[in-house]
Amino acid sequence: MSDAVALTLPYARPAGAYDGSMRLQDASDEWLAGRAARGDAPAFEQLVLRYQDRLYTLALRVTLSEPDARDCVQEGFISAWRAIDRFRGDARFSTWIYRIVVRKAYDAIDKRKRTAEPMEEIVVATTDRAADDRLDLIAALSTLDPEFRAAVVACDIVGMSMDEAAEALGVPAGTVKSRLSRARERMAAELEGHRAL
Amino acid sequence: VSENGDNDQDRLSRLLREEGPVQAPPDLAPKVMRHVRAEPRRAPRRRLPSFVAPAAAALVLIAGVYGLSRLGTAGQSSAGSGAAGGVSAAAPNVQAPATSHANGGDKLAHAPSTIVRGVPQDALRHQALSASLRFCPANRTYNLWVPVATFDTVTQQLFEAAKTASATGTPGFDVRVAGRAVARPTLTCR
Repeated sequence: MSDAVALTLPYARPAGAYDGSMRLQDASDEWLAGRAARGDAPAFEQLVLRYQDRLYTLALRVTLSEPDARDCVQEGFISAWRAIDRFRGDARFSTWIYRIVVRKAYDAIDKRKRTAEPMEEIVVATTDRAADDRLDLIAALSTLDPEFRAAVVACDIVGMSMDEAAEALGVPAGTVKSRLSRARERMAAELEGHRAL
Repeated sequence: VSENGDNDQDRLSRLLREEGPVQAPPDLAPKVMRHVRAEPRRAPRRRLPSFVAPAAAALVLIAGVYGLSRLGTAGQSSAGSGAAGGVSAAAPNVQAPATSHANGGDKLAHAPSTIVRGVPQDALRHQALSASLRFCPANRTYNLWVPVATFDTVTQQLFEAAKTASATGTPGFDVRVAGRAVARPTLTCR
């Protein structure tokens, strides 16, 4: 079983020399981040467009709340804009921004715990088997602790490598690996329980 | 972990992969960019190489030492030219000390200086006793350079003399008194 799963998404290209005719869409994340650090808003917008779906997915699956996920991503990007001149070129922009949003997601969960707002339970009735499976999957994912959920989302849904996930989640790669394994075990057991019903 | 367990995990991983990313709300990026554009970036602070601070400190020190050494030299040369040029009718000689003084004034912006109006001739003569006293053409003011250490005393004496002269109606001159790095008082025309 491979730990890293690459998704066929419009990924950041490796950093390369700018030849003067490069379009923003073709520029590497790090080049765009460098431009953004000098106040280039269109370059930053390109990064926003490039990462919004993956960051939203990450935040949504970790917080289990659409409004929280939206806030996390929005605030995460704004924090990134404010701090982008401190972004070092030797790190990857992707892991840097993931880490910002993951922290916001954990903060949102903590805040919700403190305010004890009840989560809205959404029950969807469907006769579609595939859709049913998907709902079960998301339900199983939601039973995990946030840190375990984040490991599953980062590696299995967003497609980060173990090292990238470790950097994004701010834990050692070994911790990600063990969390991922235990999370999958728990989810598999959960799904078995659903099927047995 | 059993083989079944591994299969379950593989299947799960595949299902999650198929789940894929959720599309962000369409208004998310525009909202972010509205914030970003409303909050223009400050110019990035450039990090200076580590040698720049010590080099700058050394430069300041050297400039300070050089400035102090020039201070003494400028005072002496001005004093010399003032004494040599005097206030004879020869215009170049009259202007020379004034020019030198102006330059000196720039360099010595911190040096004390004041203007005392209506100083009677004898008081001026008393102050410039050690210097050769030459009288300025009509309507010109005097420049009296004194050692910095005596500036306060001399100024006070000139003020007192001017006050007395004013009370008795004795005519007087306007004198610009300046503390300079000179060994003895120097009197020139402005």
